[in-house]
Amino acid sequence: MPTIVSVDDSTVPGEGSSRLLLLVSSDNKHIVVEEDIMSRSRFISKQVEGFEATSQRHAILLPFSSFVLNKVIEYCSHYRGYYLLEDDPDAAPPGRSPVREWDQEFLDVDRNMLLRIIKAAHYLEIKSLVGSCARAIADMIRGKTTEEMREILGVENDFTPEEEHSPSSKCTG
Amino acid sequence: MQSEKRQIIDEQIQAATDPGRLLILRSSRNALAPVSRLPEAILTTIFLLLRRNSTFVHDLDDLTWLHVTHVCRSWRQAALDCALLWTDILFDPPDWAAEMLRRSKSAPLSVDISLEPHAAVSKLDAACLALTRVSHIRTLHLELAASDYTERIIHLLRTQSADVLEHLSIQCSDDTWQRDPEEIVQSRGICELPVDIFGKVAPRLQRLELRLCQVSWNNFLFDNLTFLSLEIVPSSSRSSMPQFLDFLRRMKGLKNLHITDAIPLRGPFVKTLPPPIAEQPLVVLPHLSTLYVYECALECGDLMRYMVLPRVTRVVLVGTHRWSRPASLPCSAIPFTDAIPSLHSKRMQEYPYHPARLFVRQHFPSLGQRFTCLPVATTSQAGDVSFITELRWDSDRTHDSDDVLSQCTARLILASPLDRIQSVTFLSYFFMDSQAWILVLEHLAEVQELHLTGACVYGFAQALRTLHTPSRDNIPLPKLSTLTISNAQLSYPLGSGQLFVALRDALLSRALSYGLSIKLAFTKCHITAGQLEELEAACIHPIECNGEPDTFGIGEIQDDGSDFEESDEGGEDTHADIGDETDGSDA
Repeated sequence: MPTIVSVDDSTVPGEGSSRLLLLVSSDNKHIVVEEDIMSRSRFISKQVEGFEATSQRHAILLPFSSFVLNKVIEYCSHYRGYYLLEDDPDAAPPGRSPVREWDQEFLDVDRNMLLRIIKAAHYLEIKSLVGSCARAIADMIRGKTTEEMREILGVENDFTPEEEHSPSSKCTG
Repeated sequence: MQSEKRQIIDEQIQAATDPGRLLILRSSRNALAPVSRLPEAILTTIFLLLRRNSTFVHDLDDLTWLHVTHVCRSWRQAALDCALLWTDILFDPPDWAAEMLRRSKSAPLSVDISLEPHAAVSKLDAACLALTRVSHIRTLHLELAASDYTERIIHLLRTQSADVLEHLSIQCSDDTWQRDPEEIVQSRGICELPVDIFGKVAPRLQRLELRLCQVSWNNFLFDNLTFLSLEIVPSSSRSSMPQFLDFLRRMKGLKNLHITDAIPLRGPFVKTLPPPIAEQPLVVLPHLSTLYVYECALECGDLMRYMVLPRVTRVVLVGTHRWSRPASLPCSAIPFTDAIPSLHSKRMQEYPYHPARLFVRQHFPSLGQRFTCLPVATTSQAGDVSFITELRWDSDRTHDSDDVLSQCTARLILASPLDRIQSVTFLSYFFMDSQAWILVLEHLAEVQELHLTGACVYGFAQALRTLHTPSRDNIPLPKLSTLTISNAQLSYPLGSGQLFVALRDALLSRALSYGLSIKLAFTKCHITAGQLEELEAACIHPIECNGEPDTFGIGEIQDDGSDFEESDEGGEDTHADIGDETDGSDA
């Protein structure tokens, strides 16, 4: 899927100390965001590097809805200027990482939304957000029986009886 | 769109009767579930977060990481493909080990084997199977009982290189109630590590923990260690002090050193510290952050003579008497306490004046009689420094007099940089006599706050009075502004040495001779209204009294050790007992 389309310069406000980016969601919503905020995303950073090489301004098309995109932008805005170990393990000085309790509240959303956010974070290569979502999902199923997990995740048992008792299911609790 | 498809499939599932068709429909439905559309990388991230973590005991029973393989086909496949999920090898039941080793492919392994003396053959075979993969093991923890199989295990360790091994822990299990190392060795045996373990190849080994193991100090595998813990090395294999020092000297990157009953012995009949070994260079460990030595006081003192530590090292020295020789404490306490000033002087050369805090604690009978815990903490921009020394002995085997204990306590306190201390807290069960206190108080030129609890108070008050006699040139405790006394009986002991009398005389002299007053407070003390009134007059300030009286340490037998623990914290916010006038100064 192409992720970049050319846009009119007037679409993106002019250059200031922090440049602006135009992000286009799958539901065709145009969202303008400061480049600094999205610098946590390796995907976006790579796109911006591409712009600089071609001296062209572009909008960035993203394969998820504006609702999900706004959640990701909210996350990135919250951690703007912070070093997070997962995103920048080499640069993070000790003591700069904020307490991650905020993430817990931020990810207090329904299961499907949580899955959409983690997919978006994975696509945008925001490791810290992937990690936080993964922890939230892990916490959701930790200590649960297989049946309970299926119920939480909305999946069915699709094993044949043979598969359930096959050698590969050995050592599966 | 997705929900419509799901609805159609749900309807088909409802109508299906053929089991094969039913499974196909369920798989199709699962494929539409949001969770099934997660990239495999995300799934494995989630699985790894659920992985058993042997660091946390409560995680050991959580088998969620295994249950995920039963959720659905796609999850099972993702889990089986994720080698890292299977690297923490389980041995219970034993046949899991082989399956996990297969699934972990070539990922670095974490192997934690605990084998009892008569381990089942299947468990022993599983352990040996895991140990055939030594070259893939990153963390190896072996808990063995000296038994027939030990040789088989050691042989496996001997014949393979440990290319990725970072953490090795080997311990022979023992009865933890036994304290004498030699008794443990005799009853449980030891594990002998050959000098050519891992074929002499373990380039990444950084952390080594050995308990009840015989080890060669000439093993160069250990030169890159950053963490070393040696616990109960049998005396027969402790080699000589020069060899041990050389062993430590080679570990330039060492950050944590824990030694418990492992220092070479000076001989069972040696009572005093021999002269330092000629031409023996000091052991310089420039990166050491923690040093913990729990050892016979004599051997501990012996080792410390050769150590040079960076200024931010946290030092904990616990000197014991020689367990097999009752009443050996007095002779071994001297070299122990002598070693401390030399260590301090080495440290003092490196860091300048900083305010310090002194905390002395004598442990309570319920915990076993112990002697003086003395941390000195200085706070500076360069970081915290703490120093703890403690002397312990088995009360059933030693019968030392109060005089000996008092002298040893004073020696330990004097070993600290008293001229820098601004605040002192002293909790004691044993007496410290006035002569010992005088030695200490004369050095406390900077102290502003004193908090004394228990039996040490009586000698302190007498010393304070002595130091305030007009013939003395220097002002004793010139900066002291607050004195808090806890768990004391103001009418004890009888005669001129009575706490109340000594304290009153000292306060009056201080006020009259130097015009200095002290803010006084009592917590959990027996004090009469008359005594309180006189003391308030002597110290000018109103006196604060809190807590129910509790006078342990002056002859009252406490059956319940928990009372002593409570007394540490200063007690509840109630007023101290203001007793009958007849208990007062005339007693």
